[in-house]
Amino acid sequence: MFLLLAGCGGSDDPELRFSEVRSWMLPPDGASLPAPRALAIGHKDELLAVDTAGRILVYDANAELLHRWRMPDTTAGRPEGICVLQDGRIAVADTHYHRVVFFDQQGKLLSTLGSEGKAPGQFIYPVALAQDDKGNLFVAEYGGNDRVQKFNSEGKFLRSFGSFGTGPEQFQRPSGIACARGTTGNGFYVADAFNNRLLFFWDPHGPGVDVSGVPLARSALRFPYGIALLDQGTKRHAYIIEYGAGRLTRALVAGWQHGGDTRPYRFGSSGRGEGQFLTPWGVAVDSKGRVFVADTGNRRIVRLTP
Amino acid sequence: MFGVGGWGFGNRQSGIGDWDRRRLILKRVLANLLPPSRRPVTWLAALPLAVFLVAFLGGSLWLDATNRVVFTTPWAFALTLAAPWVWWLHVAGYSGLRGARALVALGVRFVVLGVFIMVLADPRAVRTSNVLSVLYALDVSDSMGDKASKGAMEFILRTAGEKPEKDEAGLLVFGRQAVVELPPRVTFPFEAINSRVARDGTNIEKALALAAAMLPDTKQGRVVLVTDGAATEGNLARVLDDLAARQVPVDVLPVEYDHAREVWLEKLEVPRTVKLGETYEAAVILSSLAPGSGTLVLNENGQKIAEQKVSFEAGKNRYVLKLTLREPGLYEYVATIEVPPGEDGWQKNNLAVNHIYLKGKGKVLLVSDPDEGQRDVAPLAAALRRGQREVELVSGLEFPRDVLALLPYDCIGFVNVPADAFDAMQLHALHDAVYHQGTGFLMVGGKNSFGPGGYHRTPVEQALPVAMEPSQKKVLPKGALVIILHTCEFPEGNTWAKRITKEAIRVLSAKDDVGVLLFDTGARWLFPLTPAGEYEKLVLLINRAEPGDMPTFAGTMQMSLTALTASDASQKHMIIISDGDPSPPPPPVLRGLQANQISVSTIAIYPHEGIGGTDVLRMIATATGGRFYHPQDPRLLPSIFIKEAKTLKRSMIDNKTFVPQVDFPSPILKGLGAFPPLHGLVLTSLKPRANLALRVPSEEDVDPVLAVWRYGVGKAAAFTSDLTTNWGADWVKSPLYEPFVNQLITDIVRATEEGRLRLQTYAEGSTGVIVVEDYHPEASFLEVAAQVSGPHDKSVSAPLRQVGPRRYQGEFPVWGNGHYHIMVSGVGTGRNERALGRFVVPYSPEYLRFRSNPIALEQIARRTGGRMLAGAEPGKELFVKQRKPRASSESVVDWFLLALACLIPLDVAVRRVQLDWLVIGGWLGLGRRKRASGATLGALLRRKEAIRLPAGRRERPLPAAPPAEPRPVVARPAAPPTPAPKPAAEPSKDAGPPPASTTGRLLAAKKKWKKE
Repeated sequence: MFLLLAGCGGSDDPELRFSEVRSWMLPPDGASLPAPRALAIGHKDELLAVDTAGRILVYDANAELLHRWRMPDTTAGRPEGICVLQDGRIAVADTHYHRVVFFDQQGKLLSTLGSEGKAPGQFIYPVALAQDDKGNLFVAEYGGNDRVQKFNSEGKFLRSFGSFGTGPEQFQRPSGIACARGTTGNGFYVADAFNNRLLFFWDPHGPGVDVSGVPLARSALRFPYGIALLDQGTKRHAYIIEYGAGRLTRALVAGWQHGGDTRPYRFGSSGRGEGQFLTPWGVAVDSKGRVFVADTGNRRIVRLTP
Repeated sequence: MFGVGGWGFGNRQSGIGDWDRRRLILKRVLANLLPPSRRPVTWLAALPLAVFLVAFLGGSLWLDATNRVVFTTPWAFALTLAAPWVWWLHVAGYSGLRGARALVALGVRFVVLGVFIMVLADPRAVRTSNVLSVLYALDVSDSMGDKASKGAMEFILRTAGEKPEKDEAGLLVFGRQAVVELPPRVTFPFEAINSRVARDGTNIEKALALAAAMLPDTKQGRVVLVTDGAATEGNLARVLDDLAARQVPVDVLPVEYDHAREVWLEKLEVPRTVKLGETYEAAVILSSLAPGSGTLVLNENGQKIAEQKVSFEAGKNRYVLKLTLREPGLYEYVATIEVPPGEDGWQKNNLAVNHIYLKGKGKVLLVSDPDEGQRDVAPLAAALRRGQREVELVSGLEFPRDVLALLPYDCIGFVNVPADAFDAMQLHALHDAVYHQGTGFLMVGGKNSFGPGGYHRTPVEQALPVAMEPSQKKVLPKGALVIILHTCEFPEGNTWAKRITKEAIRVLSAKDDVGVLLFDTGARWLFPLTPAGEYEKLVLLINRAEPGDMPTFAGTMQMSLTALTASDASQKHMIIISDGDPSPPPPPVLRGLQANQISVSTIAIYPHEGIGGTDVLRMIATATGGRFYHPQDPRLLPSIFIKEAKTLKRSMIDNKTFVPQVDFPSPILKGLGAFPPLHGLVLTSLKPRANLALRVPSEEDVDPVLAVWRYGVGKAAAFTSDLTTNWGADWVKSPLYEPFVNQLITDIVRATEEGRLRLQTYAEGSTGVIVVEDYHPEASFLEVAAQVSGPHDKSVSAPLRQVGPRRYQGEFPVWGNGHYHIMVSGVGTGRNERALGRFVVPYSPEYLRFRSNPIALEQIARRTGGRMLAGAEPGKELFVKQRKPRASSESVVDWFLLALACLIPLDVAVRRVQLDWLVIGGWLGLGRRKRASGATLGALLRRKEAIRLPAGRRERPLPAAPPAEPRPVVARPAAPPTPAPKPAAEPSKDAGPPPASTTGRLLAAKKKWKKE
C-alpha cells in the first residue's frame, strides 16, 4: 500500500513555489471583457498591460488601476507588446498597424516608428520590444518576416538579426525578447515560440546560441511566448511563459558555471482553475522579484509573490 | 479462530429426548463460541478492550459530532458488541500468543474489527466551503432590445470583475430556451455571447431551472436574473420552490421600459381569389397606443408599388391600397409603416406580410450553373421550345427559395448545375415542390451534377431515382481531405466552422477519408483521417469541437502533411480557413506538400488589413496549387467548402464512349430507334424502386443513364450523361434528340388536376390556424391532416377536425418569425387530394409587449430570499460577505476498504509469521552466528514436546513455561529443512496408547467427549 501511495509521482521537473498567488480581471470595456496580452514593469514598479481592447492599463504595486488610455487605431487589430524605456517613454508594438507607438507616462501619443513592409526599418506584425542599457531598441516581428531589428535611441535602424525558419539563427514567431548585460558583452534573449526554444544573441556580433539546450532540455518548452529576466549576483534567471503548456518556467540562463541549480522550475498547468494558465502571452518581473503573468485565455493578470 | 470441532448433528441415539438433544447442541455451540479460558483471566486483561471501546466509539462520535466524517448507516456500530468476544478468544489463550506480540495481535484484530464496522457504516468525509457561486441569467430575447442587452452585459462584466478572487461566476443566456455560456468558475473568460437561443420568446422558468442545475450543492449559490420579466412561456411556481428549498436566492435586475407610443401593423388582408388583369384592394390593419401619423408603404415581390401618408388614431385603423396582377405567379406583399423618430417603441413590429398566388399555364424551368452561363442548357431549351413548351431559364442563384414560388412550373430541370450554386432553402424548396406539389424534376448530367456536383446527402438526392454513391462493387480511386479550422476570431466563427465542416464532409463519398485539425491548447486532430461514410459519428465530434486561436500553421500543417503522405488516397487535398494571422508554415512543410502533390486551398475570413493579412494564406494556396478565397460574408462559406470538397469527386466521372442500352421499356423511349453513342457519364447507383430506362451496356455493374421514379406526388428523372455538345454531341445532332427530350419532360411533368380543397392559413397571435373547405360536388367525409414546415428547419404535424359541413380546422403553435408552409392532405372515399398554403410571421410576439413586468420579478426575488437590484451595485455587494458555509460529503469507503485489505494480511502475519532477527541481522551484516536460528528451532521443538497434551481427558492447560530462548524468532520460510512428519498412526482405541499425531489426539478427545 505504501508503495502504491508513494508511486504517484508528478513531473520530473521541480515545482516553482510562490507564497502568494493573486489574480484580477481587467476592467470591462463596454459589453466586452478584454484579455491582457503583454506586460511591462515601470520604473516605480508599476505594472503596465496591453489588452485585447487596445487599451494600455497602468496598475500600482497593489493591483489598483492608476490610469488607462487607448491606442490611436484598433480597427485592424490590437497591440501585442509593450516596454517602458529608460527615459520614461512607453513603447507599444502596434502589431496590426506594423509600427511602434511611443507614449509619455500619461498616455499622450509622442511618435511612431516604422511602417508596413519588409525593408530595414519597416515591420510586419511587430510583437515584442526590449531596450538595452545603451538605449537601443530591439523589435521582434513575425508573419513570415520573422526577425529582430535593432534601432538606436533616435529610432535609426542599426541592424537586423535572424530570419524565418527553423535554423540556428532563425525564428518562428519571436514572441518575447529581453536584453541582458554580461561581463563579456551585451546580448538579448529571444523566446522563439514555435521552434520551442530560447535563443541568445550576442550584440552586435551574433551569432545565436540556443540556450534552451544549456541548461534547459530542448523539449522542455512549449510555445514560449514571453520572457523576463531576473539578475541575482552572478546568476541570471529567465522567467518564461509558455503559451502551449500554460506554464511558467524559471531557468538559470547565465552564471551556472558558478554553481547553482540548473534544473527548470515549473509553475502551473493549462486550465481555468487556480494556479493554472490558459494560453498565457506575457510575463514581467518587478524589482521585488514578483512575477506577473498575462493569463490571456482566462482574461486575468496573475501576480506571483515568491 | 473459532476452533469449531465438529457439530455432531447426526446423533440419533434412542433414549435421548428432543429437549436433551437441543440442550446438548446449545451447549456445544456456546462452548465453541465462548470456550473456557486456558489461563487465568484478570481484570487487568480487560484493559485493552476498554481502551479499544473508548477509543473507537469515542473517536467515531467525535468524527461525527465535529462533522468531519459522517456515517450514513450508524446501526453498523452495533457490531462493536463483537469486540468483547474477540477479546475473550484472545485472553482465553486461543491465539496461542504471549507477551507484547499478543498485545500487538489483539490491537491489530481490534483495528480490523473497527475498520470493518466503519466500512459497514458507510463513512463520508465532510467538506465545508465558503465559496459563493454566482450565476448570471441574462435575458437575450428580442423584447430586451440591443440597448438594454448591452447595459445588462456591462453590469454583469463590471460586477463579475469585482468578485472576490476565490468566488465563482458563471453566465447563462435565455430566450425561449436557456443555454449555459460560461459555467461557474473562479475565472470569467467572457468573449462574446456565442450561444444560439431562440430569441422570439422569454422563458424564465427554463432559465432558473438551468441555473439551479448548474449551481453546485457543495457551494453557496446565488442567481442574478437580468430580464424585463415579460415572460411568454413557462410556469415559475415549481422552480421558485426548488430554489427556495435549496437556499439559492435570486437577485433580480429588472430591465424596465414602458412604450407610451407604439405603432404596429397587425395584418395585411389580400383577396383570396383573383383573376389576371383586374384590380383588387389590399387592407392594412394598423394599431397604435397613441394618435400619430406616418407613411404606409406596400411592396410587391420587393418592388414598391404604393406609398401613402396616413394619420392614425389610438386603437385599430384600416387603410386600403390598390393591387393589379399582370401575370400568373406568386406575389408576396409586404406592408410597412414608417413613423417619425421618437413616436414608436419597437421598430420591428412595423410590418405585415401576405401573398397571392395566381395560377397560369404550366412552364418548364431550366436551371444552369451561374459560373458556366447558359451554354449547357441552350440545346435542351431550344428542343423543348420547338416542342411547344414554355421554357424559363434561370441560374442557380436566381432559383426561388419558396416552395409556392415554384408552383407556376410543371417541371424543373437542373442542367449540370452544382449544389453549391444553391443554399439549403432552395434545395428544400425543390424537394418539397416535387414531393408535395407534384412538380416534375429532371437532373441532367455533367461534371457539376450528381455526386461531383455535391448533391450527396442533400434533399435533392432524396428526390432523385439514383443515389450519388456509385455501386459498392465499383472500385474507384478514393480521395483524402484534411480541414484546418481557425475560425474563433469572427462573430459566431466556431458555429460557422461546425456547419461548413459538416457540409464539406457530406459531399464526400463514403470511401473518401476526411480529417479535421484545430488548435485549442495545442495543435490536435478533432478526428484523424476517417472514412466519410462514418458521417453520423463524425458529426457528433464536430458538434463538440471548440477551435481556439491558432498562433501558427506549422503544427497543424505538419500533422496534416504526415497523415496525407501516409494515406493511400489518389487525390489529397487540404482546406484551411483562418483570419490569416498565424505564423506561416516552415518551408520544409510546403516542400513536402508539393512533393506529395497535396493541394491546399485557403479561405481568409475577416483577415487583418495590410499585406500581413492574407499574404500567408495566398502564398500557401499558390505554392501548392490550391485556390485562395476571400469571402466578404460568412454565408458564402458553405458553398466554398462544398466546392472544395468536390475536387475529390472527379473520380466519379467516366469519360468513355458507349451506346446506351434499353433496360426496361418506358414511354419516354416510345417510337425512338437506336440511340447514337454518348461520350461520358457520371457514375451513380440505381435506387431500389426506380425504373431504369437506359443503362451502360455491361454485364458486371448497372450504371444508370436514364432512370425515373415517382417521388411523393411528383415524378423525378435522372439523365447521368449530358444533353449538350460535350458528352451528348452525337445526340444533339441526332433527329431523336427533340422527340427524346420532349417525351422525357412529358413523362415527368405534373399532371394538371383541379383540386377541390381550398386552404386558408394565417397566424393569430402565437397560433397558426389552418382552415380547409371541400368544394367537391359530392359531399363526403375526409380524413384531413396537415404537415407544417417552418423556421429553423422544423416540421410538425397538425390534425384537423371537422367544424362544419365540408369545413375542417386545425391549429398549431408557431415557433418563431419566418415563413410557414402548410401541406394539407384529404383522404376519403375514392379521393386523395392535397392543397398547399403558406403564411409569414413577420415579427416575434416579443415585439407585442410594450412594458416590462417588474411585479413578476419582485415576486421571484421575494420568494427566493433575493434582492431587487438597481444596476449600480458594486460587485462586492453582489458577492455578499455574510454567507453560510456549505457542507458536502463524499464517500470515503474506498479508503477504508483499502485499509482493511492491508490490515487483514497484517493480522495474519502478526499471528503466523515469525521473524528471525538474527538472520535479518546477518543480511544486514550485523549478525555474528547464523547457527543460532537452528538452535532456536531446536528449542521450539523441545518446547512443543514439553507441552504435548496427555492422551487422556483434556485438562485445563497450565500457564506456558518461559521460552527456552529469550528470542524465539524464526522466519518460517527461512527455517532450515527438517525431516517430514510421519503419517498419522492407526486410529487408537479408547484404552490404547495415545496417538502420535495432534490430529489423532484431537479425534480421540472428541470421541471421548461425545461419549460423556
